[in-house]
Order: sequence, then C-alpha cells, then structure tokens
Amino acid sequence: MAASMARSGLRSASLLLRGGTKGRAGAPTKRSFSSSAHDDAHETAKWEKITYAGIVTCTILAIYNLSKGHHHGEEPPAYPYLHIRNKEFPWGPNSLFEKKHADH
Amino acid sequence: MEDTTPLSRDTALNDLTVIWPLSDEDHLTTNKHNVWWRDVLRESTLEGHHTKAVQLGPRYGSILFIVSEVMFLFAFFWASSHSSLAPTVEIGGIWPPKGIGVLDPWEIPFLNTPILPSSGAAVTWAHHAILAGKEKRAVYALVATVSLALVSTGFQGMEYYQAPSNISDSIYGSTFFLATGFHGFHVIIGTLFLIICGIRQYLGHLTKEHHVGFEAAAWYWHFVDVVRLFPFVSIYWWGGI
Repeated sequence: MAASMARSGLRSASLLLRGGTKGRAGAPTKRSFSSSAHDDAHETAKWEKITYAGIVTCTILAIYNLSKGHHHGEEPPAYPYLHIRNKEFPWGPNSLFEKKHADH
Repeated sequence: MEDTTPLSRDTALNDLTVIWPLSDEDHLTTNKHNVWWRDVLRESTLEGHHTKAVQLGPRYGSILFIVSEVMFLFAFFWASSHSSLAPTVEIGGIWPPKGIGVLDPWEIPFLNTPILPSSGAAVTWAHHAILAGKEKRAVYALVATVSLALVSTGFQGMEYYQAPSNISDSIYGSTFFLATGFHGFHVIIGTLFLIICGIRQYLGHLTKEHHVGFEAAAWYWHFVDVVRLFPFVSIYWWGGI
C-alpha cells in the first residue's frame, strides 16, 4: 500500500516536472502508457505517409523492372550435377515448372 | 466501428459464430480447431478473461516461436554459405556451379525486396492506428499490408517460373529453393495471420489496450520482412554473381 502510494506520488511529481500537464496537476493521475493518444495520431499519420512512399517506390521500380525485359541464357551442357532425377514425381518425369523450356 | 460497447462486441462475435458454427457432428479436426479459436475469442473479448497477466503467456510464446523460426531459417543460410564459400570440385570449384543459370539479382529479386519492408511500414501504420483508436484507418492499413504481401508472393511465383534452374540442379538449386521457398512459405503464413487480424479489427475485436493477436502478427511480419534482406544479399546478390 505504502509502496503504491509512493509510486503514485512519484508519478504525479514526474508529470508536474515534465510540465506538459499543468492543467491536470490536481486531477487524479491516470496510468500513462509509453505513448499518449496524441502521439499515436501523429505516428499514424507519419507511418501512413511512409507506407504511401513505399508503395510509390515499389510501383516505379516494378514498372522500370518489368519494362526492360530479361535475357535468356544458353542451355548448359548436361553436367552430372544438373537436372538430377533419381525417381519420377507423382505426376510424371518432369518437375511442375518444366514446361517453360518448351514455351520460352 | 466506433462503438465498442459489450453489446456491439456480442453482435460482432455472433458474426464470427456464423462463420464457425458449433456442429453436432464435431468430428472434423478443422471444425474442432475453429470452435476452439471461437472460444478463445469469446474469452478474450466478451468475457474479458485475458487480463494483463494472461496476455503475457502468448507474448512470451510468440517471442520464443519467432526466435525458433530465426534459428530454422539460419540453418538454410548456413547450408548455402557452407556450400558457396568453399565450392567443391564436383561442381567445378566455383559458385554458382559451372553451367548453372542464375537470376539477375537486380531484376525481380531487387524489385521484391522493398515490397516486404513497405508492408512492414503499413503494419506499423495499422499498429499506431489501433493505439490511437482510429479503427477504420487500422482496417485500411491492414488491407494495404496484406495487398503488398500478396504482390510480393506473386512476384516470387513469377521469379520461380522464370528461374533458369530448379531444385534438382545441384547444391545451388537445393539451397536456393529451400531458403527462398521457406521464406516465401513464411510470407504466406504471415499473410494469413494478418488477414485474420484484419477481419478481427473490422469486427471490432481489437482495442487500444488489448490487441495481443495483432501484436504477435506484427512481430511475425517484421521478422519475415527483415529476414528477406538476408537471402537478397547472401543468396541472390553475393551468391548469384
């Protein structure tokens, strides 16, 4: 009990020292979380802007990247460590993405 | 959305009950699972059993889970580094192995890298919106988060489709697809987690003081978006040139 009263007193004192709550000095102290509602509103607006900046950056990057196309490499010689097939897949001899060799 | 009195919460919970009805033929594991989660939501929102002390359990659990996930993915990066730092003579003594076609890291991999941190910024936006009591903004922010996540998964699929090698092409293919594939799998899990949070936020389950489920999803999402930087630098860029 005494400890909690001391804590409460310290909290009121620290609030007074910070000077941001002059008007509420006499009011019962409310538990203060690390961020007050005002700060959160500010942070919400800030992170909303950061998100939009990220979306714009990614969109520009996507347009640039996808418009420049990509080159296809030569088919490598049949090295023994490539295209390893020890047994068939349940759906047949080729992997799921293997059709690309035919239509690319 | 603004009204979070117990009565409106009750209505919101009934909405969820429509999605997850308790069935007499409750023999399906998925239904038991859903009904169990329904009970957790009722206990947390309507019945108010998730006190500050109770909330500590899932917090510690989530942190330990994420730590274990970091170790899990670390093993794949270790495997990739182990094989690429001293490439054996069987693969030509070079990395990438001789004859392996690799993706240009500055094409889709580079494009895909800033998408997840942007999604991470959006989930931070959602978190501050919840703390500020801006319930609709939080829903919009979560829609943005999930949309960016889906775009990222789409690009990952496109990248795999265009990839000149596959998982059966030497130790390069094995480590490349295991590491990037498991990361992509984690992106999908995180996306589902965030979709659930978005639905719960829309239904008014999350409050300024009590949103442990959302916090766990946000921690998980930051883990996933930060981890993306490691495969980009070590596997796509350093390991692909």
